[in-house]
Amino acid sequence: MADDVAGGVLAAELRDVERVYKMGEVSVHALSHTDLEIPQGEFVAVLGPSGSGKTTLLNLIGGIDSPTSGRVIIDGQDISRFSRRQLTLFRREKIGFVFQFFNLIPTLTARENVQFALELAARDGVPSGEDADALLEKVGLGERKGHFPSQLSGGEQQRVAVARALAKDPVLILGDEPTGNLDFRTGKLVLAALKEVNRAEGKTVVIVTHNSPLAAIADRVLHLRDGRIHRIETNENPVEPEDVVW
Amino acid sequence: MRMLLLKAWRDIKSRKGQFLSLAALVSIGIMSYVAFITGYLDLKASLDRANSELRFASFNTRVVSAPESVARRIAALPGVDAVEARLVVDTGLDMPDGGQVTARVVGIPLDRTPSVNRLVMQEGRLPKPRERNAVVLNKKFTNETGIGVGDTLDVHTGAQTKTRLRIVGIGSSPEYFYPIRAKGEIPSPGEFAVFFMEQRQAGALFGRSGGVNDVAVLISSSADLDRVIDDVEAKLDPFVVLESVPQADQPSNFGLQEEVEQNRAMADFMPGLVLVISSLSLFIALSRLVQSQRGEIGLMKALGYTDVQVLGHYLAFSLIIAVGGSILGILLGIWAAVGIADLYVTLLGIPLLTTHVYPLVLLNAVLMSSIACVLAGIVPAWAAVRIPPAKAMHSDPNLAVKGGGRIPIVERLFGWAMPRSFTFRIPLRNVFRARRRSLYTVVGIAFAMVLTVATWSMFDAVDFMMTKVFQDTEKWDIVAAYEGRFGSDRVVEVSRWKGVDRVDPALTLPVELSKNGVEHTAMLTAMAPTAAFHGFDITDGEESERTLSSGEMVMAEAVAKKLGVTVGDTVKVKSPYMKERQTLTVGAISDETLGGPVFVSVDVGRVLTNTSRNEYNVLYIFSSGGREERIKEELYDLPGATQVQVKDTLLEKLMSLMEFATTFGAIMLAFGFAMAAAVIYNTFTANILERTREIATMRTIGEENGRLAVMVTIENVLLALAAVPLGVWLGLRASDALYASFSTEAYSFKSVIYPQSIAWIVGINLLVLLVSEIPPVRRIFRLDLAEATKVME
Repeated sequence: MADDVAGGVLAAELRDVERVYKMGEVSVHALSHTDLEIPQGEFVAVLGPSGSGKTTLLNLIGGIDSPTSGRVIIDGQDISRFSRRQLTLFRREKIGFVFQFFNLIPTLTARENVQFALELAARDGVPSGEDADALLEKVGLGERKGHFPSQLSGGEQQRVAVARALAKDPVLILGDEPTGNLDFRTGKLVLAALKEVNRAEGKTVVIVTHNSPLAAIADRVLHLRDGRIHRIETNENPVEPEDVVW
Repeated sequence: MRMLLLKAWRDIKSRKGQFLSLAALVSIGIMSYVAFITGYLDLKASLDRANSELRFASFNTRVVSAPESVARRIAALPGVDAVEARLVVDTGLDMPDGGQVTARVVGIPLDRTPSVNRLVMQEGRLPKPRERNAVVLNKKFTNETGIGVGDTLDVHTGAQTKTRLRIVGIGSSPEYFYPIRAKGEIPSPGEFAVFFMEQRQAGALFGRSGGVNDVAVLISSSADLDRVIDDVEAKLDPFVVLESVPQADQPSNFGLQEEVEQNRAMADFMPGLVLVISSLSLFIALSRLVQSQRGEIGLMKALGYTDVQVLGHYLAFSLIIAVGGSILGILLGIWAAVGIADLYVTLLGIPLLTTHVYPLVLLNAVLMSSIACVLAGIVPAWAAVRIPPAKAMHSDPNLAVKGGGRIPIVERLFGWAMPRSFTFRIPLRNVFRARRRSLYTVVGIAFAMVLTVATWSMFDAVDFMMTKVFQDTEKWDIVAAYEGRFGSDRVVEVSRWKGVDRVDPALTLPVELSKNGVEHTAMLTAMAPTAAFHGFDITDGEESERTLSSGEMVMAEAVAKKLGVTVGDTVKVKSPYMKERQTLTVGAISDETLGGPVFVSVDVGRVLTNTSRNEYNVLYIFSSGGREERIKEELYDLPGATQVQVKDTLLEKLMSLMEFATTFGAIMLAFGFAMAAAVIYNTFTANILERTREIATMRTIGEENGRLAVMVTIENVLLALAAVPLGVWLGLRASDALYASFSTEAYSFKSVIYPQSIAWIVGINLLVLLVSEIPPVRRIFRLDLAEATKVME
């Protein structure tokens, strides 16, 4: 674990991180010289217009992309120069993902989707069905565990995705537009699930969104513009997901 | 509409591997159609041209002996266009290696061009008139033995006399393009030399000057063949007519026509099968494309494209594949056809090659492929049109689990037996849960197997036939045929020779069988009921020994079928030695692989040859001690020897002579595997690409590439193995259909595939599967995970 300046434990730390994409003869600076510290247990929202670099930031933290320069330190490990295999193992052990389009495995039931992640996290031991059931109960889907993704609503699918993310007991849960494909009511249910995980289990959660009212539930809000952190806002009193209106 | 075309083009480019393999599939289908049909037409045209230009006889009538002057009397008969009366003598020939083979000496005129059965000279020259012992040798014998112009060979011309013949030329006659002595005989061109020499020289050589025993007749185009034959036989009656053989039954022509017919059956069958499989594969591929583009279809319709435009868009894929595949297929087909025709005529010994491009064949090919592709595309295209836009823009629930979302029954019953590790459990589950994908895969692989099984089984069928013939049917070790009959004293003499364990004598003679107006010429064998040289495979009736003992006949299944008789029926039998037809009862029917023989007892044979004592013209020898070649020479030394064959040597030579069948089979197999590879590639590429997001998600949440590859492979291999029984079954049914169309009077093929062949086919197909997996798996493993996981399917 890394300590921040104030002596707290850091879940993620970016030091002078730059990500440049070469597109033919053009270089696109998706993220420019960025420094960031995210303490463990924090709920962070990343806001910004399209092309501001918020997804790039999330991908770098999640280890599905590597920086052009600078260092990305997650849970005390510098992952900037990790090999593909090291990144795979890193993602398996440290990161829980929640995608905009849920990305559940269509041929596995809700319970099996969670079990799959449980097995990944404990490769040597085979997880029990009860572990998966408990996680689904936690996101309010105990009754729907035997259903396939095609039989679940969008909100239910996303909550299965949250349970799957939790299954690995990750250091960080990353959500890229986790409510982007949901209606208002189900979106709030998913946010509530994420918030509960953050609060009850102390998991660090980082979500990327276009939807600025959602930022109200976060402890800190990062505003990105042109590949840079333009502004950081701290919510002294984050609102409850059920009180958010958009 | 331009934008839709652009979209179609971009879609094709983004799936170029799949579309290229589909176009390759169609082009292989078209190529095989054009190549085989054109090859067949060229082969037939070459044969017809050779027969016509060389004035191949309409029929031959054999007599015991007649004066040369009969030719003039026959030429005067109505309907007769040309006649050649010649001496045709079968005898023994000493080979340079010390062995002996059969020789046939055929008399030809040298003072004029023969009016029937002309020779085409391929090397050297014709003998000069009165040039002693100068001969032209049949081309096929030269090809097999290497004996050529300038060589000399000793031919047996009497009981103890031999004459040295000098080869001055190499040529072919339509009578001997496919050199066999009797209809249905196994060709063995290295064992049968045909010499053409001046008629008077031939007469002098065999002490039969001025005599002939064979009359070759060419009839005019308007004449009635049967009537002319009757007239000729009547004219030759005083000289004891042995048989008349119409062109259709002439051994060489019969053998060639059978090969041509088999070729036609293949030419008809394989392209049809290939096109059906191409269409079905295309149907599956386009169905999958439409399913994967539901969202785009919804968008197109929401934007205002009409149903016809959407239908046209998806049909455009079919047509692009059809046109691309056809152009390539036609070009390759024309190129391959020339090679195939050349190969055919060379292997079959037809001297005049004729090749054409047949526009109708090309037109048919394009029409067939276009219709097949459009039919394949229309159902998925229509399915695309029928989807309401709002529904289409949501992902297809069918892509996930079918069956009302219930766990499949197999899994509910046997789920307890599933391995606990997800590496195995996920692929196993997917097999039953992703049913549409599983169905497409199983059907795709089964199609691929149909082609490989049907073509591979040709080799097994030939091997099975050879094994059956040489192990189960022909049980003798050496067979010796003689011109003229002999008594039991020769049998006793031979049975005392060193190395001879047993001698079974037999009498063979051509007979005409008739029943209810159907006539059939067959080779009849009269034998002792206890003789062991022939193994019967009785399919109906009493066992052979009892049948023969009771004076009834054992008939080959093919002959019984042709005459429409079953056990207990009677048939009329006409032998060349009796005026009256005899009535015989069919006592048993035997499944004979080669030829269409009939068997009777020696007693019945005596009646048919109108003699009072047992006489024979064939000896079947069982030997031991490795003296076969020595015994063969001794048998040739007996008077009248025309052909002596050692089974093991014959088998060896036959295997090397299966060139035509082997070459043909190899070509078909190459087509089969090429198509199988295209089908497999297409199926598995689609399988993997359809799962791009799923696999990318698994990678993102921490699954290793290696384990993912293992999981994908396990699932694909399981599906491929599940397809094996269906593929083998369908392949054998396809073979049945093929063999039914080309089993003839001379050969009876059965579709057979050995387990080791299935193992090879499965192994090769699995290898193709594994290779096919590499490009799409690599592509997914190199995907930008962030992008792949964000894409809405």
